Amino acid sequence: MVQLLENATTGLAGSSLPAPEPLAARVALAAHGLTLSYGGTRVLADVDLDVPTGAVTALVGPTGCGKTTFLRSLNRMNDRVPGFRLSGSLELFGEDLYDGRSDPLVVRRRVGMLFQRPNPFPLSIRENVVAGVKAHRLARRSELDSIAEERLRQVGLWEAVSDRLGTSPFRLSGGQQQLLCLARALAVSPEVLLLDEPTSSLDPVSTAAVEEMLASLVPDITVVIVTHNLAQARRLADHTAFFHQGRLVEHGPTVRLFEDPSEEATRQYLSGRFG
Amino acid sequence: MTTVPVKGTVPARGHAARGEARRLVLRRLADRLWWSLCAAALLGIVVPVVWVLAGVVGKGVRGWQWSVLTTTTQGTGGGLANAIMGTLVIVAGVLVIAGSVGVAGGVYLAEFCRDGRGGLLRGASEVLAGVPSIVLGYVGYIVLVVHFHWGFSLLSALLVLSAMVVPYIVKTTEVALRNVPTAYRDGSEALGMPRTYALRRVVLRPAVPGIVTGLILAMAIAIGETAPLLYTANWSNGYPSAHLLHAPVAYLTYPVWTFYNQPQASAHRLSAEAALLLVALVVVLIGLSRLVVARTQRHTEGHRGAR
Repeated sequence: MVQLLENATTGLAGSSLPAPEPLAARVALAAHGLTLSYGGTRVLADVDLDVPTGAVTALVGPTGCGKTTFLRSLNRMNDRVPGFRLSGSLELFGEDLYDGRSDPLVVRRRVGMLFQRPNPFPLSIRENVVAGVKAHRLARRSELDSIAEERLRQVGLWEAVSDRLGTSPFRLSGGQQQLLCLARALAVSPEVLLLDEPTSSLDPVSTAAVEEMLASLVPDITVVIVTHNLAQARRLADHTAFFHQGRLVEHGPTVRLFEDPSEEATRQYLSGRFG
Repeated sequence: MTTVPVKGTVPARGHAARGEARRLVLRRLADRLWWSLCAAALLGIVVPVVWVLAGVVGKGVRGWQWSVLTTTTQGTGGGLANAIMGTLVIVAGVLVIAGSVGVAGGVYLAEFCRDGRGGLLRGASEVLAGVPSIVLGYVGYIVLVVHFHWGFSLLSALLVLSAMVVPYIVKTTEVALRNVPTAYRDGSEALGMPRTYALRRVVLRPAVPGIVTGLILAMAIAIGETAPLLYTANWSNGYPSAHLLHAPVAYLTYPVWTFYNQPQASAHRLSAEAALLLVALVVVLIGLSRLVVARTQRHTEGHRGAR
């Protein structure tokens, strides 16, 4: 039993590298004919999008274009929103996210999320980092301290907080709080990380720190980021998808999309004509 | 290059300047008025509290005998040890019964019932809160004491008092939970926490002060209630027994009201002492609740720990 548990935890920690797969299979998330609506109001229609594994994909578009709704359905965060309906298909590494066999709690363990505003829990700093680990029973109690340290080091927060792990996270700066939330999300070893404008409430210096962290996550983790900051999309993302008025207008490698978009709306938005 | 107007250096002249000056005077007057109204409201709270405390403490201390804590009541003399014990037992019982029912009800309303389905429960709770305590006491007397043949007893007192205070606990619990920032719920949901787990570990904690406040309020009401207890617990000169049924219970509000109307000096003394003890109990309760709140709020947003 103990042996089994250990196997499970080391497996989750991702220490064993997955066998190389053919390029066509290297799709982390795949949407086919995805239509999302709230109580009869269609928010997003007929989206076909493959999110490549181990890369950063940015979702951009003007407010209300449906990109955040799309992001939130990637880890089933819309499930409890009254009137939410989804048609078409959404696959995570080839498994349907929304068929009856998929467990939303497991989906959310595999697909983590970071929010617009840092949202540490009202627990101590250490307890924040290991909150998900404890909820999913991914490790034994005696291992929690080392997990907390490992993840805080990974996000570059360890030096700043190592002497006050037992204190409130709300005394940290906004950027530090967001890094703490990142450490919390990483602690459950997700395969995909969803970011909903993760730096929009932060100052430029903190933003740079968070961006640097995010860039270091790939290729171990697939990152999907919603951002209003086009410069950020350009800096961070390998692929960019442009949403407009509830449709996916265009997607492709970031450089190609910014320099040679095939749609007029994309060109106008990316060059700052509307936003 | 635009100049930023600085207070006192606005280059206004003539008519405009006079208008501005008048508006300034008016604004200051309005400020003063509001400030005084707020101060008056504060006085309206503080003065009665001081008045009551001074009156109760003054009367209670004047004839104070320590034996009141150790001896039981004999007729209209003796001590109040039986009533102190009785009140403590009653409050503890109410805390257990009404506390569990009320908190569970509040959690259900705030977290688990779908919109619209909670209306019935919420309405029932509000009606219950509006029923006068003497009516609840009378119903308790007819149904529990007489019809069920429970006699004057601890259990009937507990049930009636609990029914009285449950609505307060339900309401404060529900409101406290609804005021928990959605960011906590989103965060715990995004980590894949099961809902009940997230509730216990993350969402409930910031709601604790609100819930504790409701419980304290409920206990304070239970401590201070007289009418329903006259019907259900009655009065006893002895210590509360281990029996839930067929054994009347003493409580502190009884001597305050009943003994005050007796001619004997000893009865008046007990009445004043009981009032003092009641106030002291409530103060201790409030102190306890502050401790609980401080302890659970160490890591929350409102309390950053920096002094």
